[in-house]
Amino acid sequence: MMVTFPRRELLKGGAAAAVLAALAHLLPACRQRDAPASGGCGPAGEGALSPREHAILEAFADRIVPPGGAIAAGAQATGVARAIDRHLACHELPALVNQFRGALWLIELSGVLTGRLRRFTAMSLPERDGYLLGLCRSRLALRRRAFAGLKQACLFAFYSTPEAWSGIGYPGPLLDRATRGAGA
Amino acid sequence: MIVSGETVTGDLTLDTDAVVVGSGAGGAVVAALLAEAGIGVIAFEEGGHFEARHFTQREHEMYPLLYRLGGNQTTDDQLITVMQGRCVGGSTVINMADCTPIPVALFDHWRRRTGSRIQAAHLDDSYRRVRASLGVTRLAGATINENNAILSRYLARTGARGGVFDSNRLGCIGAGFCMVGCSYNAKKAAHLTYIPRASTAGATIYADCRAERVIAGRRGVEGVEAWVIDRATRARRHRISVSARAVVIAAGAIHSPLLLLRSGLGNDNGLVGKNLSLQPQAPITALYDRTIDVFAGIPQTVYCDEWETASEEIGISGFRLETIGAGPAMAATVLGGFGLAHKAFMSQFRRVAAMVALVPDRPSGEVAPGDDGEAVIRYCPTEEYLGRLRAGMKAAARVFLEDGAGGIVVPCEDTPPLRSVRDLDAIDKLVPEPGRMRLLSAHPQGTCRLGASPATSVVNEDLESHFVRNLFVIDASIFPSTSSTHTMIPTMVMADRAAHRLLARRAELFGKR
Repeated sequence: MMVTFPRRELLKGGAAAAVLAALAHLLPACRQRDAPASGGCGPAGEGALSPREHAILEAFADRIVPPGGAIAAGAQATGVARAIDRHLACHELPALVNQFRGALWLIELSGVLTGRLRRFTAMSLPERDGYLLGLCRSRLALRRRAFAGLKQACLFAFYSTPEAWSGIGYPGPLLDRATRGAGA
Repeated sequence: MIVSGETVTGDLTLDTDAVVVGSGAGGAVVAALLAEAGIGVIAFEEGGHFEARHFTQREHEMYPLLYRLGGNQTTDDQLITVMQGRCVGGSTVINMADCTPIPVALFDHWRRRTGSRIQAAHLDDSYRRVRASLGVTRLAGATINENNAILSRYLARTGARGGVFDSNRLGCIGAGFCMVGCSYNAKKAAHLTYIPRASTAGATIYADCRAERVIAGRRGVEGVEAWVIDRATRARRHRISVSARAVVIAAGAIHSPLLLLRSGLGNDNGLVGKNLSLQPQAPITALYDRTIDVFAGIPQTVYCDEWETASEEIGISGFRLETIGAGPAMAATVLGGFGLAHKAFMSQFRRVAAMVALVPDRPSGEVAPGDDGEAVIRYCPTEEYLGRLRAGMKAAARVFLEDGAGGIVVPCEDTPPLRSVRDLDAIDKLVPEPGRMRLLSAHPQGTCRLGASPATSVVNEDLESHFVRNLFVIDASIFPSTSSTHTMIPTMVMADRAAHRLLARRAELFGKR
């Protein structure tokens, strides 16, 4: 699973972006650590994200890999957010996981804090697409990198699923094909 | 003997002749050669020990298992993903098995930079031994898949310089999963060659063990303190303390300097961790109107080095083109855009071809320890490098377009597909900005460079620290500049030479004849 998100994000993205991300972490709603949302590596199989964070990730993944189009399946139907959450729970660097969470909150609140839009999860689907396009073209490195890191994680998770493979004509592991052939 | 960390049930205190930290291209060679000469060897590998039966050919299962940080190690600005193996055998397990030598002119360049007196001829015996150990042969024409055939046709059509790689494969069936470990034991990586030799000769290789600190006193190194770590959580489980007469650090160009810095050793001139070369690569993707199947067959067999130069003045420069294969998960992450447009492109995955513009860089980065024990990799591409990067990207795009590709995708978020040669000028305007562009590095080098003078280098020509007796660094860290476009063979031949030099001092170092 590719979950790319760099350390020292706050130091590199410019003062405005740093304030944005810091605020996102300070808001009580953002710090809430209620029951984890997904099964993972923890003692009770919990994931790393709270239900709210998980919902942001689900909404984000849904726009990166929406249903329909050239490939029928999308992020929701293939459990992309759940797979990432599980992976995060197993991740060896807690600091990296916290920054992933910070990126989620930046996506969720960046529009609100700049006084232009609603929270990401409160936007309509077309608004979300336009908002994400703005993030990936942003002048602020922090916003671009938050978007790019989360996007790579979603794409890697989606194109690791058999549903995606069948949609692109990828036959999957040769080992499986050999096994299927032997069993046929 | 290879000991998996999970089988260690308590703290250990050990004594041996030599400790080797790392089991990749450098460490595996040294461990084998020392052990076969009767030297007691304990090796530590931070990653796990895996065999063909563990390699499932599924990217999402293999990257976390075989790569450092699951393949997520990046420069601190996220511009460059720095891919390194972390398993018994190191990056030799997950590389493309390309076997390239050190250009002869480079030795004169290194003499100029650091006073190194090593010449190409000094490595002749090492090349012979390493190539024999790995079973290096020239790949045959039948193994060239359609993606690589694109570059082959370009070479034939234009007469450009290039060819087919030498490779350490034997009995390869062209499955195409080299980057996630060979399930067929066809790629003769270190875990199938030097590591078994070391083990048979009596070395003990501890997998899942992280060397935390090298201990040294006034008379030189005294040992290593390591921790058995939990493979999933990376939490420390048990301490292993080893007393040793010599310590060889071979943890790669990112983590060897970190171990020296953590230990407070060998950095009297402040050069440990400096001088980093990443040799960043730009992946270029093309869409054809016919099936390419970039994921099938040997991923990388053909290169074009028409524009690559090697000189005494500046070392390796220019750029080269190499075709590259990848699975869908990795391929999807290097494409720009998202949503239905991204899906539309990926739905044509079987018609996608890929190539990298591989651009040797001047050392322009550094490695420092982060708060979490991982590396902070700072790297600032120079304008001179960026000019060659853009030239390489344009050359790759031109190869595809002249071959009939319908569109070219560069690894940038907001650059639309390039449809014709006229569109290629757009590449000149690309600015490698974090979050907007993505570059890949698989060959970090240079952070503990070799040389004759303690003022300008970290280790001497025997790869021993200028400042701590019996402390050696033997991996890609030691190259004063990019050693080759693929670093496995250069690292192994330097390790072979260093091990033989070390054995010539066995009486002094180990009290053995």
